[in-house]
Amino acid sequence: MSEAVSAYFIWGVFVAPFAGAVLVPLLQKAPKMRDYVAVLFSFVSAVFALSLLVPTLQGQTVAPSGPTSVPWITALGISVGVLYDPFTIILSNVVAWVSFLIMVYSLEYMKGDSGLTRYWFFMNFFIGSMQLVVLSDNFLSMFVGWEGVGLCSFALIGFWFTDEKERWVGTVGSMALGEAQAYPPSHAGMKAFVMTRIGDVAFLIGIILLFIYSGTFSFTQLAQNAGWATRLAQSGLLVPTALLIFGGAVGKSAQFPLHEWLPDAMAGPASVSALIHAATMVKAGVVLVARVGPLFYFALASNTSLVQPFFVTVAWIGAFTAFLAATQALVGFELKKILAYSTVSQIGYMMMALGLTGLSTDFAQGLSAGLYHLMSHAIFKASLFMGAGALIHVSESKYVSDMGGLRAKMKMTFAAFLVAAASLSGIPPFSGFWSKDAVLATAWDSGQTGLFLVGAMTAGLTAFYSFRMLGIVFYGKQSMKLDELEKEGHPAREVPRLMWVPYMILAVGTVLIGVLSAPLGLENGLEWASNAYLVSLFPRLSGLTGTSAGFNAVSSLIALGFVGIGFAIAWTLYVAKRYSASKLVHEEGFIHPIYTFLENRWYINAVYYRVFVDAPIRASRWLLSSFEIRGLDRVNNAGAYLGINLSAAGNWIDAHVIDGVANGFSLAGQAFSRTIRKVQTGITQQYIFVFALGLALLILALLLGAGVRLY
Amino acid sequence: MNTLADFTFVSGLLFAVGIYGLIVKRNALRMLFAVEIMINAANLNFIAFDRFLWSNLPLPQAALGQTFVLFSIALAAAEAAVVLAIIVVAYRLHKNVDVSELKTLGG
Repeated sequence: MSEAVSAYFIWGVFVAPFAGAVLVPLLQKAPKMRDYVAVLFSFVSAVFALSLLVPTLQGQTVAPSGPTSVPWITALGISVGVLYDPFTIILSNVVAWVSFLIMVYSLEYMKGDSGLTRYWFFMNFFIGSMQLVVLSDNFLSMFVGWEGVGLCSFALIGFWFTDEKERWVGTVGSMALGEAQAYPPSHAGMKAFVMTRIGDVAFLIGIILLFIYSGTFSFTQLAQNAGWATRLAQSGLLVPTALLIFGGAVGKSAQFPLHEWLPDAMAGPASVSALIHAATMVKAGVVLVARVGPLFYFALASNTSLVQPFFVTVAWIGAFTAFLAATQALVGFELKKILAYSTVSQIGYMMMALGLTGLSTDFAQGLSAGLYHLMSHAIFKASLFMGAGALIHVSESKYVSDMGGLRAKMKMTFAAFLVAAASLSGIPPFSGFWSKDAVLATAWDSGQTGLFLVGAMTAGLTAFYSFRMLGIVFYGKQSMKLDELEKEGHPAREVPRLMWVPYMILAVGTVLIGVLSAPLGLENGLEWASNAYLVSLFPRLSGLTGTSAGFNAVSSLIALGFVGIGFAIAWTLYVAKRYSASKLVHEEGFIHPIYTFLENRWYINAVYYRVFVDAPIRASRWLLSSFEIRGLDRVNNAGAYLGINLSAAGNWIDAHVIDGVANGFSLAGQAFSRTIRKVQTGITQQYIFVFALGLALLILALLLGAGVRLY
Repeated sequence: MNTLADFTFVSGLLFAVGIYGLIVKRNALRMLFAVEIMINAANLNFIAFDRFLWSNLPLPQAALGQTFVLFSIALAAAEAAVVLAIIVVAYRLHKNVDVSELKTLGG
């Protein structure tokens, strides 16, 4: 066993990106330097994270040397600190390295944009905030990071705030229920901010309730002393508090019913989407649930029999969101939006796994399955998004229908995309298969057949939309749009190396993790990490740990069956092109309404706009016409006439009385200054003479005062 | 043995000479000399008071006056350099260093 790691390295993981964010604006006069400094600091953060990972992988659990916690608000006894356990460190590494690769990709992808200082600042700030969320050992500093993440998402989704038409998300002019379904970037940023805000407020109320009843924000202290849980339960607030905090995760991780912001968050640059979907933002909610899950599990269990409802809610929200978003991805035509739906869906799997923790006998199994899926999703989704950025860059269009036949022209992108999409679909031996299988096996093992079936069906849908997307983009004929570009002298070709290398690295990563998963016992390792996390932070839960259930042949085969069906249909329709997909949709009677329903996002988005955006606007218009104009304005007008008459009277007094006094003063002042001005000759030597004379007189006066006789 | 009064007397005299020079002379260089004499009067005061009133104190305080004077000398040197530079510039512009004729700065 090696030496204990330094606690400063843990702090360094999130301090480094923040430092980068501070330096970036200072370097805006030297753009080259600024870009490299921004990337460098994300690299420094990643190196710090790696230095913590190495001892972790060697199985070391020695406490780090140095301060892991420092006082913050001493009046309330609040400290801010960092966590050091295998679970957290693995999470932190995923965030750090994926973010770093995205930063490298940004160097080329964002080249020449006019807002780069803003871009690098917020990217670094984003990474730092996310690391703060991951590493915080208490709810309060986690909340600070949480809000930082929200702010950065707002700024980066709305990065192209000038709202040019080609930057809009959604097809301009498309309507659902009379609501426009296309949004400019600034609108999308605002939407993300407002929707996640609903969850954030719930989260804040939840942690404040916790603080009122326990007097602490620290995870460790909350876990050690369960008195707060009893008191909360007595006031009937225990389950509401748990659900409020979970509400924060629902907002941030885009789970039903707050999932609608994420598909529109595509308005930002592709690198930002990659960061939001793979490394930061949406994973924050998963981290939160991984923290509060164990906390409330024992709090709930030791007081009431309310364990089931809470965890059932978490798991079913996850499963339902996974299904909901996957169905919407089936009909998507914007490349990044398909991927966005898929993110919502995959995060649903993670939530389901975390919900299952409390429903099975082995708490760590769900936790490690969630962690595994988070890890493999971060890798393949970042790869897909960066690839999508390259494709959009080449085809100058966000629609998959404007691509097509790019297989031969963009070999590297195709290879990476194929591997990542296969991983997303859950095709063995890629990492996505193993991680999704771990989630489904957990559901199977804990006897949650309903959850398992939803998950398995969603896996089939995932395979379908992944290969549909792949087929449309890379197979078939070149689209008219690409033909046009070729005529204009811009034939589609591979993007620069600086762009494809990052996503190729991630694609290779997903293969390596997948292939080596079984031989290296990766699942056992993650199970060990989750166990170590539970034991170090929640000692009372140590009885709930176990060893990995490992590979479950029955559940895997069922899931693989669904994946196979989805894959086969997509392959026939979009790669082999046996049947025309558009014909199917438009001619077959029963498919068309379903298609419209899915394309309009189950009308959830439109209903939200109706109820939460239009209704208040209509109410305020009504208030304006009926109350304001007819009632208040009359009162106002009467007041105004009175005011005008009063002021006319005032004006007379002003002109005749007050001005006279004021003029008198100013005339007197002028006369005085004319007299006194003569003394100011401007000749220094005269001044010195007067000064010396004054000094001499002063000395004389002092001497006389002290009783000195001059004669 | 000289007393404190002797030193302060000399210092006062130097200061008076400086004031006189500053008032009477029109040549910028002579005025600079006068200012330098006044600075040295002040320095002499520092040293004298430190020597007679503080020499019994322990060391850091005992040498405080001298230390001050060292700084003062350095500052005086810097100031002289600045003033000389100004005089050179003034000469280039007016071919003259008579302060009574250098009035363009006064506006």
